[in-house]
Amino acid sequence: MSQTPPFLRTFVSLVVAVGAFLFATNGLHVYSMAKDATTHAIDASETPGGLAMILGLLAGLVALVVAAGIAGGLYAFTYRYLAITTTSLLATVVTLAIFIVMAIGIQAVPQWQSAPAEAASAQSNNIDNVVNTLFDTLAIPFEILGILLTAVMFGALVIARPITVTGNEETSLVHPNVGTLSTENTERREIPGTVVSANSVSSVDPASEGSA
Amino acid sequence: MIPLAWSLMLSSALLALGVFGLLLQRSALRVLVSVELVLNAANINFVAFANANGKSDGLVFAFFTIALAAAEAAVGLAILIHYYRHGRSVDVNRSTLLRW
Repeated sequence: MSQTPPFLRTFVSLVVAVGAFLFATNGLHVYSMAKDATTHAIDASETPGGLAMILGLLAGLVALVVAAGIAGGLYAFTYRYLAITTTSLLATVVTLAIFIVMAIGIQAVPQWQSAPAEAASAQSNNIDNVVNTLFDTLAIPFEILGILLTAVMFGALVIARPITVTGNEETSLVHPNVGTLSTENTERREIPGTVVSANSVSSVDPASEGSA
Repeated sequence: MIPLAWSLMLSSALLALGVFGLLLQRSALRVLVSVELVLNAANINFVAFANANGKSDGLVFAFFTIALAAAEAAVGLAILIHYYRHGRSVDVNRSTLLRW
């Protein structure tokens, strides 16, 4: 992260906080308008709908978080979470783009704006339907899922097991290569009664072998 | 009753938060939490459409997804433990080699 001057970070934090406050004020105003439209049955065509209400609530939430960070004098908190870097800026832009595109897509379908029928909701919430679907129609996939979850459990245990190497060190494991293998071939342990030569190992004393 | 668009907006917000965490976080544990947010966004969609259409298939699929999310979390945490033992860190930026 690049080192930006402290006054610049403070200035950016204050600008973001003021912007969040203004956005929250506007959003909450829109939220109150939409609520009045639903409760007092005024002309709903001239007032915003559910999207504006949710955006208003989200903006209010963001404003509360930013206000808590700045009004509380938590400069470290503000610096940590409002520091603008290339990665954070790109992530914010991508996230907002995803949310805006999905919100526009949701708002474009008029059937989704109305509340579901009471009968349909009650039918889906019936526990008998859920149990029948789970243990009758989808019984075999449910069993397969259970077997797969058991395999997953064993796999997780195998992955998370301690790596055992010689000694108490278990944090690293060295993969054998040609160098280590050749070292193992040349370094032989001395066994009493054996003669280690340059090329071969014999368990018979050469002197006794010559006399025999 | 809650309109379907409200539930979809909530799931979109959760999805956006999950993607934000996936893009920004460097700790593998936080990346796992972000993946859980994305899975929960899908679950909200399943339940919302099941509630709107009057069918219980979406609820069952949400149940399946919850089980798969638990399995994914178990395997992810196991990989995380292995990775920490290997490199003494859970920073995903350090894992640039697929070897042990």
